[in-house]
Amino acid sequence: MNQQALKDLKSDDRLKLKQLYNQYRGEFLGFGRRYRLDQEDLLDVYQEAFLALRKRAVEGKLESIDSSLKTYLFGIGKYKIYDLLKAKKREVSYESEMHVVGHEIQEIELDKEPLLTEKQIILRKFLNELGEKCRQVLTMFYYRGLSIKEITELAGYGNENVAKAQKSRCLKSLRELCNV
Amino acid sequence: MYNPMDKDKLLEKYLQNKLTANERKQFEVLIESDPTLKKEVEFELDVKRAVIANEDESFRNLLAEFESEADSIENVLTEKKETSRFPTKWLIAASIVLIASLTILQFNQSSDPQELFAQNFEPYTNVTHPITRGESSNTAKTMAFIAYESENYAEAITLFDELYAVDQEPYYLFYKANALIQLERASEAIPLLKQHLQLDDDLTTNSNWYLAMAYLSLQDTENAKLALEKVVAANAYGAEKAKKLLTEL
Repeated sequence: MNQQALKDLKSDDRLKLKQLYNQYRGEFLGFGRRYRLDQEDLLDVYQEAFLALRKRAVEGKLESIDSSLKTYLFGIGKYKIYDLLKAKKREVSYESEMHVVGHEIQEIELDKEPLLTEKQIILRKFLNELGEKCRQVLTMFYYRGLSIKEITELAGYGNENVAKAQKSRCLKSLRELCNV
Repeated sequence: MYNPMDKDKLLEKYLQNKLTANERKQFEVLIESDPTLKKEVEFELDVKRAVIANEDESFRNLLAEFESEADSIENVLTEKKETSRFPTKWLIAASIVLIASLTILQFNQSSDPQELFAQNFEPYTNVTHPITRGESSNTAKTMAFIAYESENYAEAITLFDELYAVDQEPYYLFYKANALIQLERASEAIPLLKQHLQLDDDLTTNSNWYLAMAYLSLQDTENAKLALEKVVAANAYGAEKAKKLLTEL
């Protein structure tokens, strides 16, 4: 996979993300129209596929993938299109056609994410009430999956113990907010 | 077996899915034997899900921004092209032809509210209380949504009524209204949807669309239009369909 594109995808660089997003958008809509979905549905699918692609990149799952970023993105998109067709109960009538169209794209299956529990929903709300520092360290740790060592360097903490203490403090505030 | 340093490091890696299968197994044994650690792990896993959900949401918002920016650029580009390429008199001529053909189309096209209703209405998917296949729980809530999902709307209505009486969750009004519309009892659905619109829950933004559907089903085009306009103005659920419908009504 193109390492530069992958790096851009993982970054928070708005401009680069936008370029990547727009780079495949038109072609994906063209690809998706073969499944007779309307523009609104396809844009939803494209956005969800792009989101899933980025999550995989952030999780470090794409480094060793051989296919191109585009093929991978379309693979996720195809999976999501099938999902949508299934939800619209159209899988039977279009099945035969589906093997013909887009067969060059290999579907990429995603795990279904369970719905958030009530507690997690409450946590989400309180996360937004924490300060910027807390949000940064928690995002780096839980979303980006960075080690304490990496966080220390990136966020400019003096040493690992400071970073660790910051994270513990944030978790403590969260606990207090939720009363658990 | 482990000193605290190890435990910290292991916890960190566990939360980030960085343990080898073997380490993972060991750590899971450790969790089971240490209730404090277990609680900690559970809490942090919840925090992790919440952080990820928040990040996903802000990324979705970013993509939506890209989309609206793309839209406005496309509009500017097409406007420019059209105005620079064609002289005005040609544009006027083209407009007349277009209007004429649209009028003919309109005459040919049925804009019968009932028919538009049939083409557009679909009961809202149950997103509130997902039913897992083989679920043995038979709470009233589960039974109500099973009835709703399996299209036993009459039964669902009774159950939603009872549930709403007990815990006043606004979404029961919404699903009940959907079931009523499906059973061609739209006049009963309208007050429920109006009530739902006054209350605030995750589904409130969907209610105007279903209000429009209810009016359509009663052939009340005027009120249907009003509701559709609200859907479009708020860019709420069904906005694209609403725009299209407004041109057809």
